[in-house]
Amino acid sequence: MEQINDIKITEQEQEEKKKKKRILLIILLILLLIALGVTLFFILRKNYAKPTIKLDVPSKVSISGDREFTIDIPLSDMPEGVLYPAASFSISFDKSRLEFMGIEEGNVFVLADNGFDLPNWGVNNERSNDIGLINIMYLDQTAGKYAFTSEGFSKEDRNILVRLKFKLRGSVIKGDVMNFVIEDAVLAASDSSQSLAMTKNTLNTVDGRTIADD
Amino acid sequence: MKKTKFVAFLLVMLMVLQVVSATAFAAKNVVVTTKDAEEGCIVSLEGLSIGKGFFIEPTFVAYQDIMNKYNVEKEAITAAMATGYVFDSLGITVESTGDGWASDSFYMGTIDNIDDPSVPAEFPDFLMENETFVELIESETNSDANLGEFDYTSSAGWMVTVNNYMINKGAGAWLLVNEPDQPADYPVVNNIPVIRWQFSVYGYGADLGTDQVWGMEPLYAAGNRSALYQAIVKYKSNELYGTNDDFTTAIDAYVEACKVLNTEQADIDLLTNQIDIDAQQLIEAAQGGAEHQRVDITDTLNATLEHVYNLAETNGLSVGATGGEWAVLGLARSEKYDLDNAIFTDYYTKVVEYVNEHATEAGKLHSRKLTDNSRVIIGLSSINKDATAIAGKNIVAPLNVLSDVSWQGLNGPVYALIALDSRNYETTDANLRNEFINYIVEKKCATGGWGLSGTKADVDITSMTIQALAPYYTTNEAVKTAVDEALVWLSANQNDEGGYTSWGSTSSESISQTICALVALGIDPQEDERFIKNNISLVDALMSFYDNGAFKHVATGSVDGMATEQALYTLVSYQRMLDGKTRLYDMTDVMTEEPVNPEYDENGFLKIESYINTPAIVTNKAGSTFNAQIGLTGWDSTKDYKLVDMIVTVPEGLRVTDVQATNNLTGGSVYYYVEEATGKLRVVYANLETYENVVVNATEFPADLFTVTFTMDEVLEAKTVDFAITGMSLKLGSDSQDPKMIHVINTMTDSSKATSELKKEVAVFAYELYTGDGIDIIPADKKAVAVLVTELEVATTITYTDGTVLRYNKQLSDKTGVATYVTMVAAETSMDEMNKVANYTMVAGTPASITFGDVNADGVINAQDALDTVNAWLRKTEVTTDDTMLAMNVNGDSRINTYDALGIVDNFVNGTEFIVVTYGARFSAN
Repeated sequence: MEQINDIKITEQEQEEKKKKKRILLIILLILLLIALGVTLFFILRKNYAKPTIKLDVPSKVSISGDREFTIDIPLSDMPEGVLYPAASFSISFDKSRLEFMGIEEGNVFVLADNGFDLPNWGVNNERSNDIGLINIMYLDQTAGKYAFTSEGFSKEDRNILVRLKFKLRGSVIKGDVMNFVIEDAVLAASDSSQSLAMTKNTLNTVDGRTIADD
Repeated sequence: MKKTKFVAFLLVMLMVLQVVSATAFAAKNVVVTTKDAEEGCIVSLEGLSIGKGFFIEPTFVAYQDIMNKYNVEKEAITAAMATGYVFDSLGITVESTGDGWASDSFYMGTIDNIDDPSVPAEFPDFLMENETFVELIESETNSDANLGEFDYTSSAGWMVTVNNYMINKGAGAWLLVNEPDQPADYPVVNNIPVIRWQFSVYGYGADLGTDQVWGMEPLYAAGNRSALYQAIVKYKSNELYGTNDDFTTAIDAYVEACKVLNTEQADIDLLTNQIDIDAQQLIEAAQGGAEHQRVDITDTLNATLEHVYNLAETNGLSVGATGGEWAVLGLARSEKYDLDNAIFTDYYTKVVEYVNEHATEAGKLHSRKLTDNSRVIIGLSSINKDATAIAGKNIVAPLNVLSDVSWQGLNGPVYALIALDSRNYETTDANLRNEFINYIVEKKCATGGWGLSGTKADVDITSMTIQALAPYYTTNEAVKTAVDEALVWLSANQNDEGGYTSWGSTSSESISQTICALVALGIDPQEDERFIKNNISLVDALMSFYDNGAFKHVATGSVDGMATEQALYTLVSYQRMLDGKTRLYDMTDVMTEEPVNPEYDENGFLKIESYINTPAIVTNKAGSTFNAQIGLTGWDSTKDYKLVDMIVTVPEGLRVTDVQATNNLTGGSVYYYVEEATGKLRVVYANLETYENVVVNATEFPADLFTVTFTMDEVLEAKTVDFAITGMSLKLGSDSQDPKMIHVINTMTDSSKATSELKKEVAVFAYELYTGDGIDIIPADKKAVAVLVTELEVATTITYTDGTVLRYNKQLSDKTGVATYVTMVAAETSMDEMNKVANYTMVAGTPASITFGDVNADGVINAQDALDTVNAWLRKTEVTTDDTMLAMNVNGDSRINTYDALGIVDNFVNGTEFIVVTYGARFSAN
């Protein structure tokens, strides 16, 4: 009987040990999940905290009427205390369906001699239509005197760097889908570690698309 | 009785009391007699010592009127009679002793009702600084309207001077004509006596600066105002006074200027001169027809050009202050002679020889006198020659050090600035021009102009300085202020003959330089009244030195080379202004990068040539490809060309696999066909849909128009392959019968032929892209080299014998069709050695590469690369690697600067090929 009792006691102990192990495992698992969550939170927050440029494309474009439309390129944020003397964007489009008409002014300013002024962007409409890629660049040759800065950026407003004007070509029919892709974008700072650049993953981009409609 | 009171008593005895019934306190301004021709005198009544100006402004009274009033002969007219005539005419009464104005015992006492007691006295500052005088002041206001002895101060009273001489007896006894007691130096100006009654408040005339009777030292030496008062009287009697606002205002301003008590003689003389000038100009302006008559300089300019040109043809032009750069400047900027004229090309040859012989390694033509460099740079700029590369020397470089340039005086930086701006030369320090400008502005003399050194301004230096500062006049406030003051100084120092006296003589050169200065600012020297004196303009004055195609240095001398050359470029500068052309020293107009319109020969053939470039070496194996670049040396942008066509001989064994138009050619599309029987490649570039014009938009020539890709189908036995353009034309229309519709390109030239060596084994062909000049980032001891490599089976890393690892360059490789590597090596590295394949180690493996324009090597050419280049040039960042230098110098010249940044922008936005690629491919040909 004593032997049987001893065996029962041993089984109970083993059962309790197993139970403790399970609890410990669950706790570890919970801690691991918490750590993973925190890590993901910081990664995602960092990513979402990056300034973003977006192609604000109308969801539909009518094939009747003047067939023209405009794409705004807003910038979500501009870090304070940094000068960006140069900026460029390369945006691809379907040249067989679209004619690039040119750019229009945005509302983000650069420094000027007596305050602020709108930047003078360089773009070549003819070449853009030839190659289906719009290359736009602004360069302040003083590397700072006429730079983009947060002072020329209003956090309350929708800050549009530049607008692109397009026209549907005659071949476009209802239902045609046209994509616009930011191939490269940079707001360049003299200290390139402060630049907002796709190549450095310090600038988010959002591409756009539109559909031809009645 | 105190001494002062006693003296006052004596003074009082000399001043006669009289009651005056005048009712107004304003200055009396009645012209009693105005006829210039009449004999007479001038009378004034002044309260300058109490700040009350004139009670009676200078007034003329004719002797005849006085004689009639007092029934006396002219010789008996006294100062008192003249005064009495004026006072009576104005209704002014006085308290006096004696028996009236005609009495020889007349003494002025108090003048009644002349002083407004409500207006306090304003004693001149120089009196208020005198403590003794201040103690004498009894009141700053008069107790009544009468003004006489003891008013304001205890030593006050009326004093009278005739011709600035304080007369030593009563006015009733002082004769205006032949006064027996007049001193030896009694100054009767223009034989018109000037009688000034002045109220004295201190020292019985000491405050008037003219005490010559009472033994008190005058506080200053009063200037003689006789001539000035005479001028005021004269112009106030002019019919324009009171009827013409400008004239009246101008003359009144001079009266106002006369209200300062202690004005010195020099300033009075200045006022006297200027009132005549101003009045005459206003009279002429009012009269209309008396305006300055413009001189037409055309004939003089042409004759002078011919004279100087003939001398240049006979004697040649060379480096030097005469017969050199200034003659070149005048002749070239006249635009009458083509810049390829022999006088200019011969001059350039002599400059090269001179630089070879005299220039230091640093480019100095003289060890200290850098105006030699500036002068030669100006001459070269005028004939569109770049002075940064003359006989391998950069003679602009020495101008980059202000302390060196300014060693010889102000003309050093002045001419350095002109030279730098003549062709927009770059400087090592971006702020150098501002340093020059600040230095020059700070050197301005207090008098208003500039001098070579020290504080004495000089006309020539002032005018030269204005010419240097002119480009900055509208953008730099300090420059504008300084130049404006200098113009005032130049105007004030212009003499009555319209010229200048500088360095002790009146020379044509001073006039020339001043005209150049005005013209540089856009001022017409024949229109600006500041520079027209006595109806004589600067141009009139310069013409007075002219003699049969040449100019004299001084009017009394003979014609002079330097004077003639300066006058020549002066007239040229003036004519350029009249024609709306750029400034004399702004030579950017001859730097134009517009396509050069070629000339045509008598057959209507274009005088331009075609060219074809192929790589010096190509791989000789089946399937290998390479490219040929085909282009033109010019283009007539005025013509409406509808198509370009050409025929190219294709060597046997090669196949044309592609023909592309470069970015230089727009408006059409390429169509091509190879005729098997003849092996001829026929190419047409046109817009067959709309028949729009085809256009060459290159800004520099030669310009590549087509890229032809050849493919080898099999290994060839030959060692070389030869190419030739056998025909090329530009067509304006479709009418083949009309010879005017076709412009045939000259293809009968060596440049229309090309040869490539066929290599069955690995071979190299190295060639130089550029060498640094040590100015902007690229060291002078380094050069960039490109190396064509044939027969590379796989990606290969190549190392030169000195350890330098070559960088693969896709842009040049694509352009030539042959694998091309680039690197930086020491400048002295032998190209012969670099052309030996044995000096390279080649190992299979992905080679390091560089992309021109991708400065940060992130695989993308964008704004960051352009900005990095700007920052490098601004020296905000340091360029530490050869790879970065190679990537940055997209223009392929000897330095990295903002042109490269713009090159990156141009490539990004417009797709313009980097110059280093264009020329890199061109140099790759044998």
